[in-house]
Amino acid sequence: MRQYETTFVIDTHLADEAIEKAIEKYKDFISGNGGTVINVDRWGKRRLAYEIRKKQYGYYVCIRFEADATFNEKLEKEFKLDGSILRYLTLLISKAQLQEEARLKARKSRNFDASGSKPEQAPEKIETEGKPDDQEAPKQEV
Amino acid sequence: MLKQRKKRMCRFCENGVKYVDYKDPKILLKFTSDVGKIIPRRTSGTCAKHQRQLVKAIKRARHLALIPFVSDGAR
Repeated sequence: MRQYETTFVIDTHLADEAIEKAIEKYKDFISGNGGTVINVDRWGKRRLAYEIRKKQYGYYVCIRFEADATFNEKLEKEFKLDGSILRYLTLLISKAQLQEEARLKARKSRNFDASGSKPEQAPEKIETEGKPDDQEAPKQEV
Repeated sequence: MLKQRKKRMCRFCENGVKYVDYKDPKILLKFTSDVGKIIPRRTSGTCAKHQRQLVKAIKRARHLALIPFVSDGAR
């Protein structure tokens, strides 16, 4: 089971409920195929940097999930066949990314330190911080 | 023009950044020119490792329409 992150852009010309329905559909698709959704990040409507299929705005969603290695092919096929998804991108989450997120989180919670943190100090601290995240997030999600 | 500030530090190394996120257009745009081109390492002062991460992130962000491929400077 590996951690993945998929970011996709939904057409904003759909009704709000339809957009929510689409997000739910993909969440269920992930859980239905043996994956676990870790976090769903809705960025909302954003202006696109360039026109896609004649549209200027898109609804961005980022889903963090865990799945096995064969799942990605199915997911991308689903995205491809769905006419309302303008763009999609699925990535494996690297250790470096997890470390970076832990580092940023530690920095935010410290807050007083204006002079920038020293991540080289405790690499072990960063790795253990990663794990509580995984357990916390499912509670947030519901 | 470029020989003046030769020994500038990599902005990512200074802050101890380990991973350049493609989802962060604010930072990525700092490393693109006014027409949207990626700024070369010798100009931006980025180290090789971070430049590679940066370029990958920029290309992904362009694919997701978070930053443009080409822009005309005014916008």
